Amino acid sequence: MRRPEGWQRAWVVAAREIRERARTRTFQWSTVFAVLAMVAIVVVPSLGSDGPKTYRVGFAGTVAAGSADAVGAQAKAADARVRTTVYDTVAAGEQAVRARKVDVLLVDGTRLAWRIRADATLGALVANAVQAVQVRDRAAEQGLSIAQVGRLLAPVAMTNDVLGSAAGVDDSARDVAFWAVVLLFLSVSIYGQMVLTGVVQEKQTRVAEVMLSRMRPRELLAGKVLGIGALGLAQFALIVLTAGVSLTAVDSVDAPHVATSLWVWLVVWFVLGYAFYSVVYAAFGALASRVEDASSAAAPISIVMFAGYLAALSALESPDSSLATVLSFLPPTAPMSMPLRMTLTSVPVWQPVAAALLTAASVWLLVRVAGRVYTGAILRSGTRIPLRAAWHGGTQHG
Amino acid sequence: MLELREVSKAYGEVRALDGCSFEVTPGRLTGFVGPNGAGKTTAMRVVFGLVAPDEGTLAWQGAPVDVDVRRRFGYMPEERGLYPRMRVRDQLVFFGRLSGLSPSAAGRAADRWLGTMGLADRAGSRLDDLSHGNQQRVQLATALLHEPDLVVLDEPFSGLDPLAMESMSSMLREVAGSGAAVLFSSHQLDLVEHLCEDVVVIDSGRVVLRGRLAEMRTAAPYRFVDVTTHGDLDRLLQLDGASVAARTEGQVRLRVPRGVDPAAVLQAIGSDVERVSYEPPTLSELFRAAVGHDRAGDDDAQT
Repeated sequence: MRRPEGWQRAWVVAAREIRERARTRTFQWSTVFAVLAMVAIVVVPSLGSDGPKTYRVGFAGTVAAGSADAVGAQAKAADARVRTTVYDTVAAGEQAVRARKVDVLLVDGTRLAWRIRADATLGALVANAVQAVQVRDRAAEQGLSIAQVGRLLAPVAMTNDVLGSAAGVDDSARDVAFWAVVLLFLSVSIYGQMVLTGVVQEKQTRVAEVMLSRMRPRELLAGKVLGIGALGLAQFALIVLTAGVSLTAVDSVDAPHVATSLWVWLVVWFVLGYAFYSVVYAAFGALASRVEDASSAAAPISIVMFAGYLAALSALESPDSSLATVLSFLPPTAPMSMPLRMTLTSVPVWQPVAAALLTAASVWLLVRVAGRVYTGAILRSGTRIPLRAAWHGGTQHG
Repeated sequence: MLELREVSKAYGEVRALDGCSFEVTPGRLTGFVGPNGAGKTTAMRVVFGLVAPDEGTLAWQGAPVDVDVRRRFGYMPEERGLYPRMRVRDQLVFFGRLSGLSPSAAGRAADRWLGTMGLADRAGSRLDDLSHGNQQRVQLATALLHEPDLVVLDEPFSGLDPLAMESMSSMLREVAGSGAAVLFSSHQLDLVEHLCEDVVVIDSGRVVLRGRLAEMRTAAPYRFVDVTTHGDLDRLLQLDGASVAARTEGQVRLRVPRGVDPAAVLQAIGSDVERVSYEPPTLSELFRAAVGHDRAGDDDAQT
């Protein structure tokens, strides 16, 4: 399309795709569902472990000197924080427990009062502190100074180190890589299928004829792919944005850190993957004659995409293998394999750039090949049209 | 004027068009008739670039037809060519935009045509919620929306009830009256005869008859005499060159050479006559004479 009228007509087609599809309940609900699902995927796993926890401990009755400090020291050793409150009466303390102002109340240094049930971790923490205070007091009775006892009983600070299950790959990065590949695969395949069925429907309902009496096949193809793609991009970007915002909001020790550049790359790979597969789907759609036949006509490309998906996932354990590296450069698999490797290992910047350029170049080529097949097949009725016939017919129009 | 010259198109062994030539004149209705599989639809698809001919040329006002020229054409295919789930008005605006109308012009044209078609209250309905006749109206509106110079309609009357046929007829007359060239195909020869000034008859991919219908009828070398009488019919059969086209009790339709003097015919009829008419052949008769052979069972061919 070298002329503005052609792009103008393509735009009319694209605008129709966006408007009509965005209007459907299916699209609206799937968007809502995808956003909620993404929030759930990010938030739910981190609910159980909300970072350094702050315990609230109340004291009442007889309180041994240094109890609060001892509880604090125990908490610190367990990588938790503690806030202590001393109540004048046991009743006031118990009231605070019931009102959820404190998690547990220590009465007379011997009884723990809980609201509903005992928390084993907190119970042990307070018991250790009480034990420590009592040991200190008994030691003092034996003639040791407080400082000596303090040194004697100083809790050992433990450091925590997360190793993950495979060397070099941490679990949270693996989660990110997994979901990125799943999201890319689902999005590209859903929107690619939309192009497929859209093309067949137009052919089956003969709308294509009415349209092609007013425009060139290439203009129709471009409008269709760009319109559905714009809608897909908006939905994909929204889901990715949701994931980013949720991760920031959760901010837990378990939430993986995802670099901003990776978010951007995800969107880039969606665009490239969609461009690559959608034009091929359009060509296969034009070869079919009925919607019922569309998926079987497009089976070859669906199989390639699914194999690429499985191959990408299999590289979760070995992102540095030579197979994974090769897959991350091949245009059909790069949109899933490259973001996976980028998440899991340190990939030199030139690699994703080169893979993206390679994919873009193959899209440029595919647009020409698929455009010709589409042109040769879209107006031919009858049963499934042989690829060869469509290819040779493709020179006659447009 | 639209001109097809020696257009041929073959699908494998089947010659859908075989040196097909005809023209469609602005301001007139041209009826396009022929048996099933004669090549009517293929010829129409050639006009819209939906079929690339193997040979032959296509011209509009003397110039080759390309996508920009076609923007001034309107096409109504036989099978529905609209989005089933799209709203009626949106659909019209969409096709208007594809024909190069601005958004506001397309909107105005859509509203005007919805009014003309009596569909103003269905503007927001989905197409497949409309009756067959109303869907056909919407299809017609998409073909006419941008006030095309040439309108081509494939079987616009099929499946319409008598009232809908009447309104379709007057709509087509109006379009031609406004200066557009109109070509439509139909199997209803009476209707074509009633409606069209020009006729193209196609058979096996070849045009076997074309021109002004009135001239073609006059030019036929024979006339038909219809007689209803209580008297003796056999006397009539003695007329020079007369043959019986149809005969029932007390009624006969005679085919006589054009040279036979009508006065002689009247004389032969004599008295005791209920009704008599002398007329050139109808389109049906011209059609049968031109197409000739029996085409029954030949309906599966590519149209």
